[in-house]
Amino acid sequence: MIGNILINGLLTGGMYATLALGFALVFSVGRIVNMAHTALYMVGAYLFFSGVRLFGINVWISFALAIVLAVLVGVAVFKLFIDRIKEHETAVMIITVALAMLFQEICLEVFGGRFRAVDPFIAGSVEVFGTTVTYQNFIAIGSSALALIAVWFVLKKTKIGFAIRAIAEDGEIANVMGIDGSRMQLLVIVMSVGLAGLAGATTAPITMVSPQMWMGPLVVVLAAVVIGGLGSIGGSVLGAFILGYAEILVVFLVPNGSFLRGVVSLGLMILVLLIKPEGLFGVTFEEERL
Amino acid sequence: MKRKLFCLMVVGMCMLFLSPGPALAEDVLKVGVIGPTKITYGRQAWQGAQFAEETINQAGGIQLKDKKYKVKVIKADSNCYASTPDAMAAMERLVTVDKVDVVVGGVRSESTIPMMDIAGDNKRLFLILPSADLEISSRIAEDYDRLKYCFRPSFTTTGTARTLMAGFTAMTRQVKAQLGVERPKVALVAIQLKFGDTLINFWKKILPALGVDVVGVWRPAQSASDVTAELTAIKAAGAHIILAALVGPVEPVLVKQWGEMQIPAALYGLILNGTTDEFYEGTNGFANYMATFGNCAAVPLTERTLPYYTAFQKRYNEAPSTGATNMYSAIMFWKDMAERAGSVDSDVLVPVLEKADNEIGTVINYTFTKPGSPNPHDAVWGPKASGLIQQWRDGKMKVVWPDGHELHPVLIKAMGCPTGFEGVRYEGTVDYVVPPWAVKYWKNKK
Repeated sequence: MIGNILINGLLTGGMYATLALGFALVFSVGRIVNMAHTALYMVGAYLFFSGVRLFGINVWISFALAIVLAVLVGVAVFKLFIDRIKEHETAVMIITVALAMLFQEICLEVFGGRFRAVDPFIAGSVEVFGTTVTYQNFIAIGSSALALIAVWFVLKKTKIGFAIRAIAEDGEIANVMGIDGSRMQLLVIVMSVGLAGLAGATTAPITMVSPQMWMGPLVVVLAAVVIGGLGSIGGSVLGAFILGYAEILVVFLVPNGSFLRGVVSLGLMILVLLIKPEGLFGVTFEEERL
Repeated sequence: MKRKLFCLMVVGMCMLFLSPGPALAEDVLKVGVIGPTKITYGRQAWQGAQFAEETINQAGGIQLKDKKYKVKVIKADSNCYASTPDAMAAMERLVTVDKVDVVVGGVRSESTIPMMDIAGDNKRLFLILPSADLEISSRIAEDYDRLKYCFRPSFTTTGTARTLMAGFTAMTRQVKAQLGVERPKVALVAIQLKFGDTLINFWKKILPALGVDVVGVWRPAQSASDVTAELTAIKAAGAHIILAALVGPVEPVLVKQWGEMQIPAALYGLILNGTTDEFYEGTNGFANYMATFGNCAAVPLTERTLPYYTAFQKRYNEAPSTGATNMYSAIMFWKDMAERAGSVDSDVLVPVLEKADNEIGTVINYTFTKPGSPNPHDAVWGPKASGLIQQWRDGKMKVVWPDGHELHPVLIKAMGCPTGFEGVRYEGTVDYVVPPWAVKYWKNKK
């Protein structure tokens, strides 16, 4: 059972971590609570489905196209709806909720309410410590790991990453020092939506694509960011894995209550807020760090 | 002047919104079809209703005494899985605004119960499909005068459980033979709804007497998008059989992941939408070898089944689903009863339906439990009204039960099942087959 829990927790946590990372990036740099983040994950999944099943495009090309097109949609949404009101955090939250529901309705109208299956990148499965793991699971966790490492590398080891961190720490001073805040914010949006699109395209063959698939992960992502600490990228990733493992533990230890796995996220979030409101690795109000 | 004009416009628009729509001609009978139209089952039920309307009208309509009436089906989205108040509002509208002659549908038991009150208060015949909870008919017994207009021409939880158990014993025979297992292990999986609770409690009591052991109970969320953890846990528990009761978004998810991960257990149960080509394609073909409760196949369940099946397939280019068949069958039954009574008046029809005795329907023969019984107005289950168990085999649904054997003695004794199934095996029925990967897995394990 321990092997099963470890493997399944890694798979679930990996998907949540990819989504949480994108969400946390946008919040840390732009102070934008993007409630449409998981809706863009859904858009990525539908774009991948369309490429493979509707247009018959090769899975790898569809995968790349899904991410690129999701990014374009995300950037367009940011420019048209969010950029002009980004100083007003409440308005941004409301608008992004509305956008998420708009995306849902568009997908419902275009694709219908049916659940759609997508071909995996590579069909088949292997046994790992007694757990059946499909090759698609490997691809999903592998791409999540690569994405996390790539984002870490960009943020920590490149000039652009330095600029992004400077904006996150103090936008005004960074601007005075010659760093273009708007350009960095746009870059972060690209990275964030790219991560959402990546998660959507790699997860679509594992689950099923539907217009409501954005709702469950949104709760988990919010909880992961709160648990890990608002403003802490690494904390959000760790929060995602904590939630992934918590859900899996519920399924294995309380199978009769496996429908409660979603409630676990909310419960843990409330617990952390009560005990340590800034989150496990969160920033305090006096200092900010990325 | 401008303000007056504006007010008039607003009043006019309000009247337009509140109006019940264009009045139908007096020689039209209205059938209200109520259900969650945005989900698969609801869409299928609506398709069945439209097919019934077409079939009746193409044949000239319903003959009441010396006059023929066309039929018009009116859709009402109950949204019952999200909101019971929405369901009640939809029912209210059908009965008081659209003034339908009969209401057919319901679906979710929790929402159907308050709908019954609306039907009763407005003295409107309500044919309940496929809400299975026994509380529905026990309420009729408790408040007969008010709720006598409610009938259930589909199976209750008891009826569904009987079909499932009868098919289960047939399947278990094959599992024992093909896997070489004396006492198979069973994992129970059901969503968190009333009928799921009832079935789980029932299965836990009866399965040991049927020669199998329960190794665990899993209750995934109805909207779960990933159940790999649950399936992994089921495999780790050593289950040979997964006995499931599912409805909603989790159905295709669980079936697809079961097939994709090649979980070495036979998947069997009540997977409500699992009999359609749409479902099979939606799971990318991973529904292969899944067996589920169904109510229609290309077999002569009654003398009307094959003509219906053929006509439906010709009209829609697909096999009829459980939802479409339930609805079509109920509307055609109502038509027959109305023609016999010479009226669609609910007070006239109630005693006619109560007297129905083996009335030939589309897929079952109709007899209802009598007033005075603890659960009146429920369709009686038996050899001519039992439903089917069907298994996907390479893209085709095959009937695997009734298989010609009499029911297991435990089912007859413990469930009060009637006898008479010996020899009941429709042409085209095949024996259940355990998924080949499961056979290979368990043979290698020995």
